[in-house]
Amino acid sequence: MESLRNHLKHIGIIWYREVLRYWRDKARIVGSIAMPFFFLVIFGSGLSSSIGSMAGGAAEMGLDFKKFMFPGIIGMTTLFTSMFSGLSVVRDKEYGFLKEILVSPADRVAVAAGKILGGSTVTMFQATLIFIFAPFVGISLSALMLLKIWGIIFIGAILFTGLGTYVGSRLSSTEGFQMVMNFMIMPMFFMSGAFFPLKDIPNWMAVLVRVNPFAYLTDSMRKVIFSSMGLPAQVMNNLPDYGLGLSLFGNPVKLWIDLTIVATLALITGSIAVYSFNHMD
Amino acid sequence: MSKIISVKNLVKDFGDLRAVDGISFEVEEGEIFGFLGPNGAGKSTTIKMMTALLRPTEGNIWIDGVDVCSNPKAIRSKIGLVFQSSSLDDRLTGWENLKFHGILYNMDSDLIERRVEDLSTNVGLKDRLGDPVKNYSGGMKRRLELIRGLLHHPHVLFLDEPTIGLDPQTRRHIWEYIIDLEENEDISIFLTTHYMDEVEIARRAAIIDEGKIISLDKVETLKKNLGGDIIVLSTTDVEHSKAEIKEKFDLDVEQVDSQLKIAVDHGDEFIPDLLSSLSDKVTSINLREPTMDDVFLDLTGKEIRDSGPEKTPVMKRGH
Repeated sequence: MESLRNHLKHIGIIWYREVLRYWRDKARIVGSIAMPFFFLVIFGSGLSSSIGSMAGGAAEMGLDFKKFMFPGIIGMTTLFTSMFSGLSVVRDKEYGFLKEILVSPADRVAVAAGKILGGSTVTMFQATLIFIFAPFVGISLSALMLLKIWGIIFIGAILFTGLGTYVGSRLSSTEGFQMVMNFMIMPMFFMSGAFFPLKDIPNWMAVLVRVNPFAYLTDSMRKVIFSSMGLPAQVMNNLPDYGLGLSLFGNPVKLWIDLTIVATLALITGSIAVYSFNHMD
Repeated sequence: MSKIISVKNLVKDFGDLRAVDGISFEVEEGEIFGFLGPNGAGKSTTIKMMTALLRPTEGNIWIDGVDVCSNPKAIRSKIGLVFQSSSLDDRLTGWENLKFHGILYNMDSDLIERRVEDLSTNVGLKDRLGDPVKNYSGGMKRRLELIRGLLHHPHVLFLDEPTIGLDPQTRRHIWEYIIDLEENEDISIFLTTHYMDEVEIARRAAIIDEGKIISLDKVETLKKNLGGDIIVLSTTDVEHSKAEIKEKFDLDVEQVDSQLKIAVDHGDEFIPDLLSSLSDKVTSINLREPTMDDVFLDLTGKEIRDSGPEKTPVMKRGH
């Protein structure tokens, strides 16, 4: 019992440090909403009318490009913030602070768990900030929708923070980390349907989309947000036909399948990160 | 005195490179033990193995009765570490760094607060604990790391190059504090350094070079073995004088660049004899106590590869 209490305290203090460091870095908080803002306002406004041809027929039913992009922007923020939270491990190595943690009596499982939960908390905060753009985009918020989205962001954040933390535990320079991250994030981001409808895409890409974890995260967010937008049942029930949803083996992917896939992967990346922490010199 | 640290036949290989080559030593309870050697001699590797950050290739380490290799977790709370390079979080305040440490070492809040109060008062950091560490000077950071290493009442404190990169005055403060610790706290200190003057705050020292211990004794004895004093002189004809001193006084004379170095007892009484018996003109002469530089040169035939940044007056201990 005593030792469980200690483990929880260790997880807590490591989590707290991650959050505190984030909170003190006001430039990072402000900067983090800049990119989503530009995407929504400039990119989204510019392409506003083209959603009609991209997602045939959906435009007449009240969907414009900004609304289409909004769930994807939440997903993007989740992906970028959580993957890059692995940078804190690299930075701790570079600044020597990791040694202080590793020579302490804290179990490395607790250390990795604290890091992952810290990164996930920051991700949730960051992704929630994007909702300040919701009125501008024309999406009305409800408490239920927010709760659902938070749940999804949390699972997704664990998945990608786990992945980022794993990469961070294997690398020793921030430059190297950023390079590897770009290689990992960009393909996931572009082949997810977050940016453009997955309609009439080449076969090879259709295959890659289906093995892309981030595509399932985006898909689940779109389902939740779209369903609160009052789109006609004809669209909601046939999202893949408009390029607005994933299908597997010819059937539209249901929300619970999206979430099962994301949660399973989150468990796997989280465990890999913990394992890797345990075997780090 | 009982042994707080016992190291036997410790070996560490990195691929083909043998960084630590079968070293053995013991540290007595309550002493400052110096571990002296040039950069790359294997000091940091040894400390990493002793603190269970690195597994030895061969050999055994016991600290405070615990076998470090087979029971690394049990050792963590018994030791404190001050690393060679900074390991503070500079975005946090001094107090937050200490609090973080205390919780990782399973201390409760009251104890952390009391201990921080005591230690920070001793090193004169108390008023600055609320400032972010990024605003600290190099010396303040070192002091903060020192008290952090001591926070959880470790039985052994490891200091890896504790004054590297500090100005002479700050170095002296740190030394005074370390000596103070030895006298007033129930703690043993393992100190690595490549600064010759720094090891003189230790009671005993091992000299390590290329992964091997080449000498281990009381610091006093290491110095005494050289003969009481060192005289360094230069003359108008160094080669001739060297031969002359050898012939007349039957002493070993070492030539370092254009200077001659002699180790003798009672150097002050020897200088007049020396001056009156040399036929060449003496252009300079200098008498001093042997330093660890001399010890190292004597043992290895080479000067320590990287000596201290500035010459700081040697600390005297009350042996």
